[in-house]
Amino acid sequence: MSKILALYHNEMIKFSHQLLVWALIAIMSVVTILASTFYVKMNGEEEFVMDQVDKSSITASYDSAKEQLGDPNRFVKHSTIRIQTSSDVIELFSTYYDFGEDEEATKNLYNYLNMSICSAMLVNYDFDKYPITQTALSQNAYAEYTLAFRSLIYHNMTPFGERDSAWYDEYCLINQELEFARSALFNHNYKDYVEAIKLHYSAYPITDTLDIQIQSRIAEVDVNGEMSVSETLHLNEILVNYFIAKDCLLKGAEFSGGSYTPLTESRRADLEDAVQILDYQLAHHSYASYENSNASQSVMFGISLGRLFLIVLAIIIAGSSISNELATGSIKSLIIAPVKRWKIFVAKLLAILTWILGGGFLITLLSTICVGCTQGFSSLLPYFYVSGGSVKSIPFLLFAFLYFLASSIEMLVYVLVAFVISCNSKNAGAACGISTALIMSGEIINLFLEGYGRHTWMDFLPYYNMDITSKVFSHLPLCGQQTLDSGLLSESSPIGLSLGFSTIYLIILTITLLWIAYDGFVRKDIQ
Amino acid sequence: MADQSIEPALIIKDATKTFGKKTAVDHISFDLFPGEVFGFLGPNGAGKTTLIKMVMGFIRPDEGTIIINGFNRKTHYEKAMSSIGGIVENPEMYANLSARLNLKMYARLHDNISDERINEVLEMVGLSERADEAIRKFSLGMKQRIGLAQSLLHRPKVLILDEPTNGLDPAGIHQLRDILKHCAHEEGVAVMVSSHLLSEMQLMCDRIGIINKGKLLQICSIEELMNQANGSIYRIKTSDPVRAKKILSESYDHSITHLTADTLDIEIDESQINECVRVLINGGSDILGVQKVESSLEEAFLEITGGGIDIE
Ligand SMILES: Nc1ncnc2c1ncn2[C@@H]1O[C@H](COP(=O)(O)OP(=O)(O)OP(=O)(O)O)[C@@H](O)[C@H]1O
Ligand SMILES: [Mg+2]
Repeated sequence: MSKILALYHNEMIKFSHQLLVWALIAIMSVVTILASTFYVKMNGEEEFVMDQVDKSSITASYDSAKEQLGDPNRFVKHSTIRIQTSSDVIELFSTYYDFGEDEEATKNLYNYLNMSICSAMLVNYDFDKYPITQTALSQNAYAEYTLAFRSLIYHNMTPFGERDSAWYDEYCLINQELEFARSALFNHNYKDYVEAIKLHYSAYPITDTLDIQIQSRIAEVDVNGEMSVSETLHLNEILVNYFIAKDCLLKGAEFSGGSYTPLTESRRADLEDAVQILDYQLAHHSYASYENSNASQSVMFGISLGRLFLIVLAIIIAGSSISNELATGSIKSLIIAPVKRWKIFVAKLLAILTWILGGGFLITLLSTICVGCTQGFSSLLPYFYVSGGSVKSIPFLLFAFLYFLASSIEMLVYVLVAFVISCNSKNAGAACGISTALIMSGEIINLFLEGYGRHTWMDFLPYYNMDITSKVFSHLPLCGQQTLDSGLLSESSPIGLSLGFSTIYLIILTITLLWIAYDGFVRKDIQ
Repeated sequence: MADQSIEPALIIKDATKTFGKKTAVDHISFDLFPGEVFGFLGPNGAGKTTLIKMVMGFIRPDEGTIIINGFNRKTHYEKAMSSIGGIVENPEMYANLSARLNLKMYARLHDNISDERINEVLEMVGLSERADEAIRKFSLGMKQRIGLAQSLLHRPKVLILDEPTNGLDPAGIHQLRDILKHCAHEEGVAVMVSSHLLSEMQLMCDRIGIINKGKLLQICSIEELMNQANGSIYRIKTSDPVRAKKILSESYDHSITHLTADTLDIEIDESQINECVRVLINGGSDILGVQKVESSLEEAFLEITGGGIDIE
């Protein structure tokens, strides 16, 4: 053991004296820093801008509408109906709006509506206390209020003679809706807003209860309606995932591609985990704000670009570690030393792994720090998972590193290939070149195969078993935590192979490669 | 001369190695004793390097056992290897690291080697001033020296050097000789040196093993080897060698080997030289000098190896 450590120490010294290694590490770091810092900007993340609805804009539209309409009262019509019974005459009187039939009328209708809404707002609404652009409740209640108001006006255009009991039922409903919407808007009451949309949806035969569920849930979290628009929208997104997952669990099937497919055992487990995690996040207010919801994606982007250089570094290190020594003859001082050859082999492998893992940790750390500094460390949420029935979490940095590892299996396999060739040849260039060529051809073959459709034999191709992130962190997308595609060079499509199969496959592949390397270096003669 | 009563430091038994159809080393067995410098002599392609590589663990013998300092290389690899040191072919180290760092790294693989010991060996090979330079800046001879320093670092019981004088300047060769002799005779190290230069062997070896085409032909001391040369050559200086030849041709016709403007070489036994000179004087030739020419070791060597130059 002490011999292996001594050998390992020496290997680390050798690598650390190579200029190329440090040059690549420097490039890798710079790329990682730039990529993670500027990801949000590169992606053109637009600022969330709401319509300006404040007192001045309302006044302006009120004034212009008034100017065009002149006297709004001229559209108000009255009519009377006399009904003669045996002894009495009942006289019914009604008011309705009549805008005529011509083109002008349509324009006038909108102006009239505008004016009515604006005037109601100007008279009664406290703009100072509840600025409409700032909270989601103001925004939504304003929209709901406007909608209800418009419906009412349209409703009131039905001439008296055509009004029946169905009309009356609807009329009451709209009035109620308007009442709730007004109360929500003017008193800033979330509960009333929820009631308003409930009524609104109940008016339509085919409605989704999703919206109502989401809004009720938001009302629970944001009792006083003080949450910002963007924050609420983000919470909305989380809740959409939550309720869809719950819905799927309830139905035992998932809606995708236009039809329902039954849930598999593992899919069900993932969905259950996702629901539990989302529950936990909602209860603990532990989700990223809307503005910084791309923070973790920025980190992953930094890592994925930095990794391109890490691949180069890793392949050079692995590809040259033994073949270079064979070529220059420096291997002699290792062979002459009183250490068994398998120890040299193990020490070299460990040293290579150290550099790769160290490099991986470096890019993870750098991009986490960069994103933390630019977007706030609090936006880098811990990773939640379910274990033993309860939700646990691991810090973001550790999660990011684990994610990096899971998404780097492919790289490790190619590095191993480089090492295998390195053990069997004096030609470091061949070792690096062949494994690089393998990466390229893997990508190309995959391109062709994608067009060829899915076949069972493809499950045994290495390529389809190397992306295990989507299997290890399968509920991430269900929780709305977006992660970048983990394909080494291009995007990879998650394949429905089980984690167990892929793991066993990768283990067998690794052992085979290691055995060839071992055979090449430990058992053969050194010339 | 080695003390044959003590335990051998290195025992090679029936070592055999074939490359394809070619047997590079063919059942070679011999013992190497503490305190001796053993010369391993053979023409190009004889199998010297192959044998050394087998002893040093580079290549697996097809057959045979190697016991170093009492430990079988196969069963007690690390113990056996810790008492061996040496250079195989050219000394090669990590070119972009300094000489000292190279030695330090090598020392780490052995037990208990102090920094003082590193300085000591650097001093011994005369490189202490340039020890902190990268090896790539070294000349061939300097590399040879640092290789020697490395192989001495852990005070090995067996020291094996493959053509160590390759690239050394005369002073370096001299120094190497002294170091090897010191190691063997003062410190009791068993030293094995391979070479195809006889003159070199002659100066530093106590025993010589002659190898050709993978077979160990003979082990003998330098003196024994020289005695194998039949007879001696005497160079007679005279003003008229042609006339002298004519005088001698009657009785020594076949012995005259070489003629120059003023000398004549004759191959005869020591006992006959007196008679030969008398014949010359009686015949009227003048004699300016008689000198014994050292019998060439090369010739003895060529004879043993059967010409030796035909590399297959
Ligand atoms: N790797 C190899 N593959 C095939 N044949 C080899 C190999 N190494 C050595 N040989 C053969 O084994 C024989 C002995 O080679 P070796 O290198 O031991 O000679 P040597 O005595 O060291 O010669 P030199 O004085 O030139 O260094 C040669 O005929 C050589 O061709
Ligand atoms: Mg040789």
